[in-house]
Amino acid sequence: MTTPSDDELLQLMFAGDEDAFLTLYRRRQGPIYRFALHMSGSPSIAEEVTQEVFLALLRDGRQYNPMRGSLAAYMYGVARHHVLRCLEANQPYVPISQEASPEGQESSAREPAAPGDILADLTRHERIEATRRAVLSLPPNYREVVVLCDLQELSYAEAAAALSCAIGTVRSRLHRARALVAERVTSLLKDSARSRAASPPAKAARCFV
Amino acid sequence: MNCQDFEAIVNDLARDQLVLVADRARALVHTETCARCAARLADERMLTAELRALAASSEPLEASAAVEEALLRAFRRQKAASAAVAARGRAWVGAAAVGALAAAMLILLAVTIPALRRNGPPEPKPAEGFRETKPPRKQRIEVAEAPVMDDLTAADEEAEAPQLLPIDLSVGLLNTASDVFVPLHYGETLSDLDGDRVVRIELPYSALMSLGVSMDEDPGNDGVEADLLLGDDGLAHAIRLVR
Repeated sequence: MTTPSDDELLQLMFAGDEDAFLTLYRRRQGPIYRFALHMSGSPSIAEEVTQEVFLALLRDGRQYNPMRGSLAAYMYGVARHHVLRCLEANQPYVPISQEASPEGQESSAREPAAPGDILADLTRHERIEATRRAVLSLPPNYREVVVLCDLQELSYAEAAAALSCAIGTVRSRLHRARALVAERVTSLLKDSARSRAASPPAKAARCFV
Repeated sequence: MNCQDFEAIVNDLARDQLVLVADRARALVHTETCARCAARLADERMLTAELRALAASSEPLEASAAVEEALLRAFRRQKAASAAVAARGRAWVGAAAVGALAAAMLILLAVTIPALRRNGPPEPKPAEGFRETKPPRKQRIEVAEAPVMDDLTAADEEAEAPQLLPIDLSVGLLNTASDVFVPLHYGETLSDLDGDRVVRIELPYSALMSLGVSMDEDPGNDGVEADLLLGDDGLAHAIRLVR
């Protein structure tokens, strides 16, 4: 038995098939949530956006035209619209590192490493965190192409459909956005190294027992 | 390949996107001779690795179960609402059909009742082989005075069938070739029918009776020739019998 496509699930959902709706939701909610999370830096906004995207699909899903792009691209487009609206309403956003993660959703980057890999793990975690902050610091029009193309691994064509722009625009924005991310990551890592060097070494405590 | 061409595809190279084999080969050859572009490609690959690490670190993240529950409730609500709307729609369609049928019947009655009142009893169909003659436009057709109900004499009122116009075949219309038309309907004035069409037809005796014309002698199996004076409405308003 072949796995039903997104479009087939959507049609079944319109016909009132609850299982089809659940299947479509469980297939697509993760990418939509992560897109909103990387765009906003806020798990609560990401949840709100995810809910809004699927509510919009229930309400206005018949407006989706397969000739204009995939259902995933359509949903990313709806998510982008809601994220930008939330960002406008909730400026300044709360970065991920300052907001508690949802229960049971600890990032793998925060999992304890093996004792021998502590230093490597700290370095990796530091770079990931710097990259996350660098992406979040981008202007929205650059941030969305990085999130879609590099983090969500959409093709240029899918990203263009989601953003309602030309493929050439996606390519040029991505080129510029990656350069900005690289600059920002380098800067953040240098700042981090400087702050470590500037912090006083821990004093040895003598025990006067 | 020069540095500018290399810059145009360095992102695709670093992100393992589809690049023409020839372009990829030329770009890699270029990095062997250009240290700056080689470093540029290395930086881009490192950035790609960092972004993929970030994507992998957030891979397990997803919306909480509360979102799924809320959406499921919304789906069920919408499904129930759609079913209710569909039921209302079916009821409305039924009511609309009944209403449309009633309206159609009213319109039919409104159209047919005045027409029936105006036309009176149905006219006999002309017999086969009727001849149509059209009088000269300016020709005046002499018509007999219509027996208006108000002018009826007491003798007329005593007649058993006032609708029938007694005609004496021996001396009446059938024996004459005059232009005198007898109106078919009581109370109708024929002066406004000047110059209208005259159609000559051959009528069976029974049809003549239905027109309200009685004959004193049986014409036998032969039909009776008559001229019908047709009004602008296409209806026969007067008759003239010819042998």
